[in-house]
Amino acid sequence: MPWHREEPNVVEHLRADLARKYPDLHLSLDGDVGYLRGTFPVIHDGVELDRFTVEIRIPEAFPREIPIVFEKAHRIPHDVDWHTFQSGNLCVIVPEEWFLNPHSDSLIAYLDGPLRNYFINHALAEAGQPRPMGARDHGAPGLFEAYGEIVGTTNHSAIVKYLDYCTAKKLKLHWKCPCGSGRRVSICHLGKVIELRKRVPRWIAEKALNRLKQALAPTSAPASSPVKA
Amino acid sequence: MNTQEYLTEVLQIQKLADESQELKDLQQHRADVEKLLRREFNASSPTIRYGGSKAKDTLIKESFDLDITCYFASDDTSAGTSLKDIYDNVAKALEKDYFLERKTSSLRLLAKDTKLANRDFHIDVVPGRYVDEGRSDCYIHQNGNEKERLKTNLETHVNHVKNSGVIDAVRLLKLWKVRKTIHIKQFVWELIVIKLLKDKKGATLESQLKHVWTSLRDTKDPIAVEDPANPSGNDLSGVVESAWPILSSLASSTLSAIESSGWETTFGSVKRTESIAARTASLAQAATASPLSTRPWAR
Repeated sequence: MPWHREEPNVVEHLRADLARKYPDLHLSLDGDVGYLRGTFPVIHDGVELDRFTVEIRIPEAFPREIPIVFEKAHRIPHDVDWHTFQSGNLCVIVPEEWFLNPHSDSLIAYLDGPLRNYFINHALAEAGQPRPMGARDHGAPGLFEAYGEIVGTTNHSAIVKYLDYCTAKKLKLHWKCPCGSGRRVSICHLGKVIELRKRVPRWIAEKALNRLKQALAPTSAPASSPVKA
Repeated sequence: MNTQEYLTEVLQIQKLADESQELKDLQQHRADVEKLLRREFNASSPTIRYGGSKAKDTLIKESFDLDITCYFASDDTSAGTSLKDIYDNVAKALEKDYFLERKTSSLRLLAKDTKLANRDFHIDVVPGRYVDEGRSDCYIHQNGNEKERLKTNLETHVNHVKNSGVIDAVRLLKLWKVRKTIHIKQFVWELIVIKLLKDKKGATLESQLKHVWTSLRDTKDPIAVEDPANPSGNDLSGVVESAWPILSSLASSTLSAIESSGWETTFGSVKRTESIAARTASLAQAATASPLSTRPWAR
């Protein structure tokens, strides 16, 4: 069901929240896609430090998909080194990192968190300063980094195995734990695997899995079935 | 701080001071553009002038676009025979140094280096040809419009706004339009504001702004405005009609927000950092204070 029909008055509540926190962003609906258009201020301690002109698309499947943000004043170069695609949408965060946030179903939390952070980082980078929160590497290395932090390992094979378990139709408790301990998952990192399966949409995990498998074995075709322990 | 003082402070913050880096950069770009055009159209000697908000004194820091008009003499054909030729030839000349975004009548200049932050120079070049030797009325080309040419007069436009008696309200309402990203030509928006305030010139800024928003909210049918430089030949009704619903809706929400939470919901805090270094330090503090640390990525 589209996000704006999942609960009664969700649009009215969002409009009220926006009026309170982001009065220069106005919401409109085009079919089942929402649009927030206007300007996004970066305020700290009551002082406005910057302001960005944006269009934020709220996909029909929100919050199972993240909002897509465009900067509309030609200020941010459309270049991956500036964490922006050629089409102009910003690479705000690795989506899975946001899905695992307990507030990921709140659009306002997305604006307050990843998007505000993105603009703070950008404003500083633009001024020739380092990004205080850092930046993920581009492409698969950045994905490995993000998933590695989520599951608590830097071992690429283990990360791929976690994703395998995340995308498997059914999780078998006798499978070996993806962490590589050799123990059964049921007595090792079951909680972590269940959390991942619950919060990361399967299609996104599958997409990430294919990319990471390709990155590990660039010449081989993407695998289609989960790797069993 | 009362409302009048607050609004005056907002205007002050939005002022692009003569010694500001932004204005110096703009002036340097203007000089570069003028040099390029004079070199390319050496035989024509076009009249190159500031138009838009710089000429009208409605410049605001948050949207400091600069219009540069490049008008050729009525009997000059070296830049092109038709208005479209002139538009295309000016574009061709500018393309030597810039990427262009072709707008209805103007050419937006973008840096060729796509990796450059702030690659939009905020400069629009408007090519045209004077109607006669008086060098006052001018024809400009219109891309994608039914009418391929439009008669206009820079002087008349500038004077209409400059002598309106409501320039501060025009600037604040420009800021409102920019912050809400309302898509209506700035000149048409100025005409609407000036018309709505024609009997309110002596009122306070607060009263002027509330009057404009109330009128937008409560007037069902879009008001009619006319181009002072071309009252019968430039039909603006379509532009006003298409923007009216959003203007009306946002005017209504603005009035409600001011009523319930005060003026800062509309124009924000007037506290500002005092220097670039202080701003950088504040941004770094804002990053540290963020309850959630997240990093950008690129697929």
